[in-house]
Amino acid sequence: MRTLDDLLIVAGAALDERCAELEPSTSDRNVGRSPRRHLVVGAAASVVVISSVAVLAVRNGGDVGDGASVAPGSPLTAPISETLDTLPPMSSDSATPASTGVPSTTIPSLAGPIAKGSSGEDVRRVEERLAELGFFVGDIDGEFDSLTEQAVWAWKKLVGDVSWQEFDDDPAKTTVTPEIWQTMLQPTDIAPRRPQGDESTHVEIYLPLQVMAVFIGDRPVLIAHVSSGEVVDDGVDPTMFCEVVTLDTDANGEPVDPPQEKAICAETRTPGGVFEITRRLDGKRIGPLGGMYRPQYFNYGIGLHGAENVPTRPVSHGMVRISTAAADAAWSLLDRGDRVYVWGQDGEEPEEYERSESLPSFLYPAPDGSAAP
Amino acid sequence: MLDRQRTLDGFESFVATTGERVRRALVAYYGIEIGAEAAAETMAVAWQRWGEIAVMDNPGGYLFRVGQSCARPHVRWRRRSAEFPSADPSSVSDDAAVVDLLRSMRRLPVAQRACVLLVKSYGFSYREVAEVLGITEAAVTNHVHRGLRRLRSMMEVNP
Repeated sequence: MRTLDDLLIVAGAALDERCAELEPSTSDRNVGRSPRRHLVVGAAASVVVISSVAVLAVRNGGDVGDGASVAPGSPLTAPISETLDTLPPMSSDSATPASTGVPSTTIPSLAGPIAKGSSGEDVRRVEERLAELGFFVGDIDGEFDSLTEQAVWAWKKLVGDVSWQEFDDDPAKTTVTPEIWQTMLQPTDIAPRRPQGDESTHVEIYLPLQVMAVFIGDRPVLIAHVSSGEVVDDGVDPTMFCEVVTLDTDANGEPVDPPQEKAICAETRTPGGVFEITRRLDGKRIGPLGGMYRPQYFNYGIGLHGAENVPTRPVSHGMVRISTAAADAAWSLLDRGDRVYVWGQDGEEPEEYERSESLPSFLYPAPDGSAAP
Repeated sequence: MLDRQRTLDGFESFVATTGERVRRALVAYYGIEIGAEAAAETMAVAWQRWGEIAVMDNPGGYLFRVGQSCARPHVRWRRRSAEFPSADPSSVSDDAAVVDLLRSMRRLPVAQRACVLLVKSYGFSYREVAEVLGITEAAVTNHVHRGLRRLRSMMEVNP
């Protein structure tokens, strides 16, 4: 009878063989069919040739900076027709700038405005472009669903420079017009405000924008719309809430047994500051104040989590909500110890918060024991 | 003046070594279909940024994370654990014991599964696995031991 060790080796070989049988996918690539080299050929063939040559050549010339623009015709969206054998020779005196990687076919404009509920090629193009820029769009399927909507919101706020208050009031906030599409196509550099200068992963949460971004090696890999702690009309100060809650954990998330019912009050504040991810819970957690999917805590009981409802305005009791699908992506990209920078609603830089100002609002008993706000 | 042939040779050998490790780690996480697709897209990124990647300290770790973000649009969270080893597990091998083992591995936490696969099936060192997955060697040791223990109890085979 074979041992577990034997079976593991056979299983590994079987997995390798099945992978080798898979052909390079997507009809966009005209790739030679040599299986042994398919990864190399697939890799080279899926690059828009001129831009790759120019990037390497210009990099030698030393004038491509850290925030190199992403041209509209970059690899993930352009049709590809070159194979390894037809790569033009590279030369270090190429004058071709990196941003002219666009193939001869221009990217078509949108036929008309699209919004939630639309479907088709126009939607797919928008999804692809947003995904290319680093926005989380969910499935790229040509269906303008709520994930696509949140990606459009995030783009409008981060790149379109619209505050969440103005944005919240705009009845056309979800619509992507042909003009907006043209703006989306322009070379866009979404750079971190706190570049780490290495390959580490870090998170930046811009509360005044209600947008967050995960950077790996200072490149954006997940940009998402968020809804954080509710604020009053000035857009800065948190609100107060009082509720009867069942507490089965304390402020640090440690279990409290038996669970207690209490009338409590707290501020709906998401503080600014510099933090790191301390605890992560895989699965759905029913906290005292509602359901949280895959919470990743970075400031005592405050963390990033998935939620069904992520509206355009901040509505939470302090946690930073993103869609459940984005929470899945964030789960696989992040780990304990990853640094989290939060720009508070008052517009201060993360480093400017005193330690006491960075603390969340802890639950305290309602003044007269009742739950009246 | 860049030597095109040497650049291509260097990239090819990179794909055969580090690239293969990244592919196997991605398959361990996402199964064959999504893992291999993500690996191919990742190697495209590696080619495009070859100048930087060739001189990184830990290109495998960087590319594994790139691969995770490539895999992301393809993974539905409700079915995530069902993606390994494949959308059709029985197609992976004619050997029923191997298919059983892979189905059991599906039930491991993904980090344990990846560490067991990379160390025990492919013979990578704990250090190599720690680098590609971006965790400590101590964590790899933990994952391998716990993963094997769970597999043994699931399969009731001789250790």
